Amino acid sequence: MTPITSSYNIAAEKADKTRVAAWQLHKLQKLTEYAYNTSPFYKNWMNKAGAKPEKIKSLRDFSRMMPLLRKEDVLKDQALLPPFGSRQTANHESLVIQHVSGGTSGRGQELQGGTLHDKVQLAYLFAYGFYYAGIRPGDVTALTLPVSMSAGGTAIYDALQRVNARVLPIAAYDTVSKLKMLRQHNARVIVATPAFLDIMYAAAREQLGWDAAKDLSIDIILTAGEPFSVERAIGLERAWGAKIYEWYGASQRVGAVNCINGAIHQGKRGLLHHLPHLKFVETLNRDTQEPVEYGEEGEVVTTFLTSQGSPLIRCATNDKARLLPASSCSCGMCSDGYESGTISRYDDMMKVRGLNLWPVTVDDIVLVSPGVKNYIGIVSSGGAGRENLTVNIEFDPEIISERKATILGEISEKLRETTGLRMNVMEATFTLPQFKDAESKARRWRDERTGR
Amino acid sequence: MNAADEESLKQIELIWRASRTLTSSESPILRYYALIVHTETSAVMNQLLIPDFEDSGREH
Repeated sequence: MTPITSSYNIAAEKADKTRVAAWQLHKLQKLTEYAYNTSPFYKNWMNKAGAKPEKIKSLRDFSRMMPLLRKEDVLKDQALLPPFGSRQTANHESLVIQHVSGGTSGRGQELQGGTLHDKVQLAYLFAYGFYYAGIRPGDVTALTLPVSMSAGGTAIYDALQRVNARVLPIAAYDTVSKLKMLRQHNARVIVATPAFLDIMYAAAREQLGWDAAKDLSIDIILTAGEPFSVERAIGLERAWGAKIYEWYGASQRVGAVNCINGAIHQGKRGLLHHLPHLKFVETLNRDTQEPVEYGEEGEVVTTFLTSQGSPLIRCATNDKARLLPASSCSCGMCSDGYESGTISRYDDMMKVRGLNLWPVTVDDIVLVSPGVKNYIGIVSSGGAGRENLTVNIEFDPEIISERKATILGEISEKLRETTGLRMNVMEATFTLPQFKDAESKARRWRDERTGR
Repeated sequence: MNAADEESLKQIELIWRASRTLTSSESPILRYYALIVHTETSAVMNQLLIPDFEDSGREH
């Protein structure tokens, strides 16, 4: 019988930082040379920056010389030579996957083409986390992410197969059918965003009369796509009777995974470990572009070390994450990582009445309030240049009217204390949009201010 | 790494080299098989931080 251990690949997990750094340098030298010689975009990019591959003798050289690659640069290149741009390094016959970015910025979508090699490497990136979560051969795993033009569905499907999970691809079915399949096939694992877990939980209770923790056999929740508070994660774990593990991924081939400790460990946030043998990750201060210290937040900048199809070299993701040392986690792995449940996007932030408002701050207050099912926030323009903030709350059906008023008052007060902004918190008078599948990121805020 | 693993790695290298040769076969089915095997052996070496032949995947 195969021994069950918590280690997936001890060679990488226990590799010390010096060895990993040497490995990363070797791979980056190869990657930059490959990109320079096969991609007109990168040749021009590196020549312009005076960053020819032979000049890169250290990781510091790489970070200092190679410019950050931003979404705008990729989109501009794609527009000049559709569909992939001259950044593409593999010939078209070698491409077996292609996917687009999520489009959350609203500024266009980058297209990545990948070879079989890229597909396999990307699958490994997430397979580590799925193994640490406890998925073992034959475990029935319900995948609510659709296989679509986004990277998520395909990459996660591939990663689940790397750990020999038995995948239930249920994305195409309605919520009730999904739940029935979980029960019929005795699913042990579910892959879904926090928003979609809420929807499934509510549908189980309201439409089937099921208690997800008792009537289903889910032990492991794999989640990603939106930040969550400790309270919210613990609430989801209780609701489903399962432990939550997070992964962080984006179409830029960035990734980090929880270890065996999960997203929440002993009441505190876990660590999303980097897998530094697969990618070189930098976390930079947005103003100075210098590396942040442990404990600080910065922009995630990533270089996947072995890309064949569409290398992304020093790709600035626009994702905001808090860097923490390996020692902040008790699992024993040697890699640093990001604080679990807190990665968000810089372009999520809204400036309202001169103050910075992060949707995740409101999520953390509203979604853990008792009786609240969901909410939508709207920023709109009032008279005389005023900016109005409205938080429309959807309650659980069993909450009675008298109780609603108290809950609304409590939320309003907490929001004012935490954000410094007074918001009109009210019961929703319209039907809130549903996040239909695990791929749809829960975008709960609408900016309806004129002139934007 | 123990002796058995070392020996296994030598075998993987042989498979890797043989599959690379097969990728230029005239038979489509053999070329596909070779690509799968070559990619997988290359990927696993990469996971183990063994730099000697991981880059060759780009030759396809």
